[in-house]
Amino acid sequence: MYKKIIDYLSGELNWLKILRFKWQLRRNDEMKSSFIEYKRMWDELRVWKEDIKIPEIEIVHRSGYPLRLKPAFLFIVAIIGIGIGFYLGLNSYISASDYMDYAVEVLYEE
Amino acid sequence: MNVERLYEKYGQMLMDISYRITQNRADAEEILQETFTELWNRKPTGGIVAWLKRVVVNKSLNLVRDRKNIKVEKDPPATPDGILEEKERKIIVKRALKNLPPIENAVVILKRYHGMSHREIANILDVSESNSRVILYRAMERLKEELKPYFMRGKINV
Repeated sequence: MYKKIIDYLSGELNWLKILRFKWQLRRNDEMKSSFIEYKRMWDELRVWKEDIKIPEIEIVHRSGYPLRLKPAFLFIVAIIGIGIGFYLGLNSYISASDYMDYAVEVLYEE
Repeated sequence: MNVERLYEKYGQMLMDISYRITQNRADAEEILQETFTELWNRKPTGGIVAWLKRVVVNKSLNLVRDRKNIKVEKDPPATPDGILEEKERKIIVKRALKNLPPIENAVVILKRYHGMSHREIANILDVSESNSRVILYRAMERLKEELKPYFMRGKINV
Protein backbone atom coordinates (compact mmCIF):
# COMPACT_ATOMS: atom_id res chain seq x y z
CA MET A 1 0.00 0.00 0.00
CA TYR A 2 1.29 3.44 -0.94
CA LYS A 3 0.54 5.76 1.95
CA LYS A 4 1.48 8.72 -0.20
CA ILE A 5 -1.56 8.04 -2.38
CA ILE A 6 -3.90 8.54 0.57
CA ASP A 7 -1.97 11.63 1.67
CA TYR A 8 -2.25 13.03 -1.85
CA LEU A 9 -5.98 12.29 -2.16
CA SER A 10 -6.73 13.71 1.28
CA GLY A 11 -4.83 16.92 0.52
CA GLU A 12 -2.07 16.39 3.06
CA LEU A 13 0.87 16.97 0.69
CA ASN A 14 2.45 20.37 0.02
CA TRP A 15 3.17 21.52 -3.54
CA LEU A 16 6.71 20.16 -3.55
CA LYS A 17 5.61 16.76 -2.35
CA ILE A 18 2.76 16.81 -4.90
CA LEU A 19 5.26 17.37 -7.72
CA ARG A 20 7.44 14.57 -6.41
CA PHE A 21 4.44 12.29 -6.07
CA LYS A 22 3.29 12.93 -9.63
CA TRP A 23 6.78 12.30 -10.93
CA GLN A 24 6.91 8.99 -9.06
CA LEU A 25 3.48 8.10 -10.35
CA ARG A 26 4.62 8.45 -13.96
CA ARG A 27 7.61 6.19 -13.38
CA ASN A 28 5.94 3.47 -11.33
CA ASP A 29 3.19 1.48 -13.06
CA GLU A 30 2.27 -0.53 -10.01
CA MET A 31 1.84 2.64 -8.00
CA LYS A 32 -0.21 4.13 -10.82
CA SER A 33 -2.67 1.24 -10.92
CA SER A 34 -2.99 1.40 -7.15
CA PHE A 35 -3.59 5.13 -7.39
CA ILE A 36 -6.37 4.59 -9.92
CA GLU A 37 -8.15 2.22 -7.57
CA TYR A 38 -7.91 4.55 -4.59
CA LYS A 39 -8.87 7.61 -6.63
CA ARG A 40 -11.97 5.92 -7.96
CA MET A 41 -13.01 4.86 -4.49
CA TRP A 42 -12.23 8.29 -3.02
CA ASP A 43 -14.44 9.90 -5.66
CA GLU A 44 -17.22 7.36 -5.14
CA LEU A 45 -17.45 8.29 -1.46
CA ARG A 46 -18.86 11.60 -2.67
CA VAL A 47 -21.92 9.76 -3.99
CA TRP A 48 -23.40 9.98 -0.53
CA LYS A 49 -24.90 13.45 -0.50
CA GLU A 50 -27.69 14.28 1.88
CA ASP A 51 -29.62 17.39 2.59
CA ILE A 52 -30.11 17.23 6.31
CA LYS A 53 -32.36 19.70 8.05
CA ILE A 54 -31.40 20.64 11.57
CA PRO A 55 -34.11 20.21 14.17
CA GLU A 56 -35.66 22.95 16.29
CA ILE A 57 -34.05 22.76 19.69
CA GLU A 58 -36.02 24.44 22.45
CA ILE A 59 -33.11 25.09 24.76
CA VAL A 60 -31.32 27.03 22.02
CA HIS A 61 -34.23 29.43 21.62
CA ARG A 62 -34.58 29.83 25.36
CA SER A 63 -30.88 30.52 25.67
CA GLY A 64 -31.02 34.05 24.32
CA TYR A 65 -33.34 35.11 27.14
CA PRO A 66 -31.03 35.06 30.19
CA LEU A 67 -28.20 36.58 28.20
CA ARG A 68 -30.38 39.54 27.20
CA LEU A 69 -31.81 39.72 30.70
CA LYS A 70 -28.40 40.18 32.30
CA PRO A 71 -27.87 43.92 31.55
CA ALA A 72 -31.49 44.73 32.44
CA PHE A 73 -31.13 42.81 35.69
CA LEU A 74 -27.93 44.68 36.55
CA PHE A 75 -29.59 47.99 35.77
CA ILE A 76 -32.53 47.25 38.10
CA VAL A 77 -30.14 46.17 40.88
CA ALA A 78 -28.18 49.38 40.40
CA ILE A 79 -31.33 51.54 40.61
CA ILE A 80 -32.45 49.75 43.79
CA GLY A 81 -28.93 50.13 45.22
CA ILE A 82 -28.86 53.84 44.48
CA GLY A 83 -32.35 54.20 46.05
CA ILE A 84 -31.32 52.40 49.23
CA GLY A 85 -28.08 54.40 49.39
CA PHE A 86 -29.95 57.67 48.95
CA TYR A 87 -32.49 56.72 51.63
CA LEU A 88 -29.81 55.73 54.15
CA GLY A 89 -27.72 58.80 53.37
CA LEU A 90 -30.69 61.11 53.74
CA ASN A 91 -31.74 59.38 56.94
CA SER A 92 -28.32 59.72 58.49
CA TYR A 93 -28.16 63.37 57.38
CA ILE A 94 -31.52 64.07 58.99
CA SER A 95 -30.57 62.33 62.21
CA ALA A 96 -27.22 64.13 62.26
CA SER A 97 -28.86 67.53 61.78
CA ASP A 98 -31.49 66.70 64.44
CA TYR A 99 -28.70 65.81 66.81
CA MET A 100 -26.90 69.06 66.04
CA ASP A 101 -30.08 71.06 66.65
CA TYR A 102 -30.57 69.25 69.93
CA ALA A 103 -26.95 69.85 70.94
CA VAL A 104 -27.22 73.57 70.12
CA GLU A 105 -30.49 73.80 72.09
CA VAL A 106 -28.91 72.12 75.15
CA LEU A 107 -25.90 74.40 74.87
CA TYR A 108 -28.07 77.55 74.82
CA GLU A 109 -30.12 76.37 77.78
CA GLU A 110 -26.99 75.83 79.82
CA MET B 1 -21.07 34.06 21.20
CA ASN B 2 -24.55 33.17 22.33
CA VAL B 3 -25.88 29.62 22.04
CA GLU B 4 -28.54 30.51 19.48
CA ARG B 5 -25.94 31.93 17.11
CA LEU B 6 -23.62 28.97 17.66
CA TYR B 7 -26.50 26.70 16.75
CA GLU B 8 -27.34 28.64 13.61
CA LYS B 9 -23.71 28.69 12.49
CA TYR B 10 -22.50 25.20 13.39
CA GLY B 11 -25.71 23.15 13.90
CA GLN B 12 -25.82 21.97 10.29
CA MET B 13 -22.22 20.83 10.27
CA LEU B 14 -22.55 19.05 13.62
CA MET B 15 -25.76 17.38 12.50
CA ASP B 16 -24.06 16.20 9.31
CA ILE B 17 -21.11 14.72 11.22
CA SER B 18 -23.40 12.94 13.65
CA TYR B 19 -25.74 11.68 10.93
CA ARG B 20 -22.92 10.26 8.84
CA ILE B 21 -21.42 8.43 11.81
CA THR B 22 -24.69 7.11 13.23
CA GLN B 23 -26.48 6.86 9.86
CA ASN B 24 -29.71 7.60 11.66
CA ARG B 25 -31.49 10.94 11.54
CA ALA B 26 -33.29 10.57 14.87
CA ASP B 27 -30.07 9.62 16.67
CA ALA B 28 -28.24 12.56 15.11
CA GLU B 29 -30.99 14.95 16.22
CA GLU B 30 -30.89 13.54 19.74
CA ILE B 31 -27.10 13.87 19.90
CA LEU B 32 -27.31 17.46 18.69
CA GLN B 33 -29.89 18.25 21.34
CA GLU B 34 -27.81 16.60 24.08
CA THR B 35 -24.68 18.43 22.96
CA PHE B 36 -26.31 21.86 23.09
CA THR B 37 -27.93 21.03 26.44
CA GLU B 38 -24.47 20.12 27.72
CA LEU B 39 -23.08 23.35 26.28
CA TRP B 40 -25.81 25.27 28.06
CA ASN B 41 -25.13 23.55 31.41
CA ARG B 42 -21.35 23.50 31.28
CA LYS B 43 -20.52 26.71 29.41
CA PRO B 44 -17.01 25.59 28.36
CA THR B 45 -14.40 28.29 28.06
CA GLY B 46 -11.99 28.59 25.12
CA GLY B 47 -12.46 26.73 21.84
CA ILE B 48 -16.20 26.17 21.91
CA VAL B 49 -16.41 24.97 18.29
CA ALA B 50 -13.68 22.36 18.81
CA TRP B 51 -15.46 21.32 22.01
CA LEU B 52 -18.77 20.96 20.15
CA LYS B 53 -17.18 18.83 17.41
CA ARG B 54 -15.46 16.63 19.97
CA VAL B 55 -18.65 16.08 21.96
CA VAL B 56 -20.75 15.31 18.87
CA VAL B 57 -18.18 12.86 17.48
CA ASN B 58 -17.70 11.12 20.82
CA LYS B 59 -21.42 10.82 21.47
CA SER B 60 -21.98 9.46 17.96
CA LEU B 61 -19.13 6.96 18.31
CA ASN B 62 -20.43 5.77 21.66
CA LEU B 63 -23.87 5.26 20.19
CA VAL B 64 -22.50 3.32 17.23
CA ARG B 65 -20.35 1.17 19.54
CA ASP B 66 -23.36 0.41 21.71
CA ARG B 67 -25.43 -0.52 18.69
CA LYS B 68 -22.79 -2.72 17.09
CA ASN B 69 -24.14 -5.71 18.95
CA ILE B 70 -27.73 -5.11 17.92
CA LYS B 71 -28.59 -6.61 14.56
CA VAL B 72 -30.25 -4.19 12.19
CA GLU B 73 -32.07 -4.78 8.97
CA LYS B 74 -29.60 -4.89 6.13
CA ASP B 75 -29.85 -2.85 2.98
CA PRO B 76 -30.77 -4.84 -0.11
CA PRO B 77 -27.64 -6.37 -1.63
CA ALA B 78 -26.48 -4.75 -4.83
CA THR B 79 -25.08 -6.91 -7.56
CA PRO B 80 -21.48 -6.17 -8.53
CA ASP B 81 -22.29 -6.73 -12.19
CA GLY B 82 -24.08 -4.25 -14.34
CA ILE B 83 -24.38 -0.47 -14.18
CA LEU B 84 -25.26 0.85 -10.76
CA GLU B 85 -27.82 3.52 -10.25
CA GLU B 86 -26.86 6.50 -8.11
CA LYS B 87 -29.20 5.30 -5.37
CA GLU B 88 -27.57 1.88 -5.32
CA ARG B 89 -24.11 3.38 -5.28
CA LYS B 90 -25.11 5.50 -2.32
CA ILE B 91 -26.39 2.43 -0.44
CA ILE B 92 -23.15 0.59 -1.14
CA VAL B 93 -21.02 3.49 0.08
CA LYS B 94 -23.13 3.94 3.21
CA ARG B 95 -22.96 0.24 3.99
CA ALA B 96 -19.19 0.11 3.43
CA LEU B 97 -18.72 3.04 5.82
CA LYS B 98 -21.04 1.46 8.35
CA ASN B 99 -19.03 -1.76 8.24
CA LEU B 100 -15.83 0.05 9.22
CA PRO B 101 -14.80 0.09 12.89
CA PRO B 102 -16.34 3.24 14.45
CA ILE B 103 -13.06 5.15 14.81
CA GLU B 104 -12.08 4.49 11.18
CA ASN B 105 -15.54 5.51 10.05
CA ALA B 106 -15.23 8.78 11.99
CA VAL B 107 -11.81 9.59 10.51
CA VAL B 108 -13.02 8.96 6.94
CA ILE B 109 -16.09 11.12 7.51
CA LEU B 110 -14.20 13.99 9.07
CA LYS B 111 -11.56 13.84 6.33
CA ARG B 112 -13.64 13.14 3.23
CA TYR B 113 -16.88 14.96 4.00
CA HIS B 114 -15.62 17.76 6.20
CA GLY B 115 -12.11 18.26 4.81
CA MET B 116 -10.52 18.45 8.25
CA SER B 117 -6.77 18.18 8.66
CA HIS B 118 -5.21 15.34 10.64
CA ARG B 119 -4.38 17.85 13.35
CA GLU B 120 -8.06 18.75 13.79
CA ILE B 121 -9.13 15.11 13.64
CA ALA B 122 -6.49 14.17 16.20
CA ASN B 123 -7.77 16.91 18.48
CA ILE B 124 -11.39 15.80 18.15
CA LEU B 125 -10.73 12.08 18.59
CA ASP B 126 -8.03 12.55 21.21
CA VAL B 127 -5.39 10.61 19.27
CA SER B 128 -2.01 11.65 17.85
CA GLU B 129 -1.71 13.08 14.34
CA SER B 130 0.28 10.09 13.11
CA ASN B 131 -2.32 7.80 14.62
CA SER B 132 -5.03 9.65 12.71
CA ARG B 133 -3.07 9.06 9.49
CA VAL B 134 -2.65 5.37 10.22
CA ILE B 135 -6.37 5.02 10.97
CA LEU B 136 -7.18 6.64 7.62
CA TYR B 137 -4.77 4.34 5.76
CA ARG B 138 -6.37 1.30 7.37
CA ALA B 139 -9.88 2.53 6.65
CA MET B 140 -9.04 3.21 3.01
CA GLU B 141 -7.57 -0.24 2.64
CA ARG B 142 -10.73 -1.80 4.03
CA LEU B 143 -12.97 0.40 1.88
CA LYS B 144 -10.97 -0.48 -1.20
CA GLU B 145 -11.45 -4.17 -0.55
CA GLU B 146 -15.18 -3.73 0.03
CA LEU B 147 -15.89 -1.35 -2.83
CA LYS B 148 -13.57 -2.90 -5.39
CA PRO B 149 -16.17 -5.25 -6.92
CA TYR B 150 -18.57 -2.36 -7.50
CA PHE B 151 -16.54 0.62 -8.58
CA MET B 152 -13.27 -0.45 -10.14
CA ARG B 153 -14.44 -0.21 -13.72
CA GLY B 154 -13.94 2.22 -16.51
CA LYS B 155 -11.21 4.75 -17.11
CA ILE B 156 -9.93 7.44 -14.82
CA ASN B 157 -7.82 10.51 -15.43
CA VAL B 158 -4.62 10.76 -13.43
